[in-house]
Amino acid sequence: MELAKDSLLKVSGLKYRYPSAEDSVLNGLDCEFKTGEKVAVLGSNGAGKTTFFNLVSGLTEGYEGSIKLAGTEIKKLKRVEIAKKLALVPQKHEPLFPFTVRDFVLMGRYARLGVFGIPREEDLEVVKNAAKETGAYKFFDRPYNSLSGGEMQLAVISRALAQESELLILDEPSTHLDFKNRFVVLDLVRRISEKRKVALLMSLHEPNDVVQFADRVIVIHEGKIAADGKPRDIINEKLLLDIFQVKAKEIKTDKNSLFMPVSVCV
Amino acid sequence: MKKTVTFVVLTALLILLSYFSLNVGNYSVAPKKVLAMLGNRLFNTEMPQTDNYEEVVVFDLRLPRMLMVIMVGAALAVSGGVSQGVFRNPLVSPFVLGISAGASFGAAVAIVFFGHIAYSIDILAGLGGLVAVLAAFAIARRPDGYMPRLSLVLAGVIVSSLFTSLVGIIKYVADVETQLPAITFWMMGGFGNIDWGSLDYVIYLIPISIVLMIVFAWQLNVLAMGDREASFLGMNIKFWKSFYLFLSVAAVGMCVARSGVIGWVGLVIPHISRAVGGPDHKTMLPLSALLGAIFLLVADNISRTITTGDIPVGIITSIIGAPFFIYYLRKKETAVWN
Repeated sequence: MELAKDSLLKVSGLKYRYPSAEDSVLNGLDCEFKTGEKVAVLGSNGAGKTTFFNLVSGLTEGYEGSIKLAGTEIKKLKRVEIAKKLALVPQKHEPLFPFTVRDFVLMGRYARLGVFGIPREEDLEVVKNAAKETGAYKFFDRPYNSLSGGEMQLAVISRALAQESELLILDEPSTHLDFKNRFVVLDLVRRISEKRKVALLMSLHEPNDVVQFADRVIVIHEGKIAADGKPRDIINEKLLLDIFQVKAKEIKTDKNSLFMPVSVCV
Repeated sequence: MKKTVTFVVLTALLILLSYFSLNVGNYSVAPKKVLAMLGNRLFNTEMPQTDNYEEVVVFDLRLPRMLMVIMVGAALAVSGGVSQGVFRNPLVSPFVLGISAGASFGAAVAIVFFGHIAYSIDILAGLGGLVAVLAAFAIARRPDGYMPRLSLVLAGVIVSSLFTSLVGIIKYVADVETQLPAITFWMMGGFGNIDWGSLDYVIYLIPISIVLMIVFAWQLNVLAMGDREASFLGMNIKFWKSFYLFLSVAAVGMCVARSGVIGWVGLVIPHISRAVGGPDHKTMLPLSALLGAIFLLVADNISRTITTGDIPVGIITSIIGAPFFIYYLRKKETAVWN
């Protein structure tokens, strides 16, 4: 039962070279993301995942090719328009001043508030619901620089939810988290995506997380898309060897296959 | 509620201190007489028996000086809070960033070379401040856009010492009789020469810039998340950063042009405000304005009564500010060095 899905983000012929570098990081990427999809981006360190996210969220300019957000070239959109359509959860948020979690999440409403930032009743409601959905409501009035890594990630995701965008980009959402919190966060964003019909675009390091939490995977390798499709069709021993130079053993479970690294081939 | 009480108490304190400032000084005027004279001016009540001198002391010396001190205290503290938010760095202030040194260089150039042109001190002080902060920014910023906290402080130290040396050079070419004392005065900071003439347009523009910085405080909350995050939350960071940088440099420039370089207010007061009212700039900035005015008024009252002369207020603010900041930096929970 395939619903009619709109194209949220369409990338064609995307090339990018850092001004100080000789070679391009991204060398001709084509892909399209639709409403409600849960897409994982897989690639080795330095493959250009973060660069890709910065480009599609309009934070990095000077690319070749085209990036269309809801049909409009991203270069032509104002930041405030982008923020209403796309929310980004950064790899790590470094807190500085001790804002409460409440005030921090409210900043997700930036694009929808006036210049004076006076929240309306509905904004406060959105903020509260976002925090309740992630569980950040438990520490709503605590200064957010006192949070643990897992709690912080929930606060940052709440802020992104408060943006009420259709696309949620998560840059390595599980990297700094322990075993439990990694599951908590990935399971949370999966549920959010299903409940709110929000498209997810997240970079993951662990192929098994991809198998478990995404319904589509894009593999970025040597500046190009090496594979794009359902995780169970794409992730296999050969791919892991090609991308990560890791020999892995496939372990069949009742639903999926998981992979255990055995050795590294240099 | 607690915040409202804090604001009411501090406002009352500021009013009391202001009245007190009109009373103290080397020339004694009976407090009753001061009150009666104020009543006469404000509400047209009966004028008390005074000699002419008492009126001059209260209305032409102490009153303009008090107003200037309040404006400068508030402006420096608010600009300090603003620069800490814009640069995402609790270790900076207009003084640390070199804005004050740049402005005093501008003032020195104006005194020596453009003394005949009206407002040249104000214009060049403002420009000097702007050049200084942009230079500090350019030195500290790495090519990838990242700016380590300590680098910005060090860049400020570099810029400050460069501008201070340049002032030193200008001192050599300055006229010993007239220009040199004026420059020296600017470097020390003080309100000894303030009269109604010094308040001319700054009595409007300093309060306006303070109010503008406070009204848009929400933008500063989001800016303090860092450039990248503020961008993806939907902010036009180029606009808001320029807005705040321009206003804070303009305010500091006007302060330096009238009262010289006064350190510590812009660094210490925002920290106290944050400790009292929390980090939300909507509360923190107005609180800084009040506390900055109170702090500088106290310091100025000390500086003009502690000796028979009028010692530069910058000395008093350093004596109070430095120990406080040492205490702040050594506090366990203040992890600002990373």
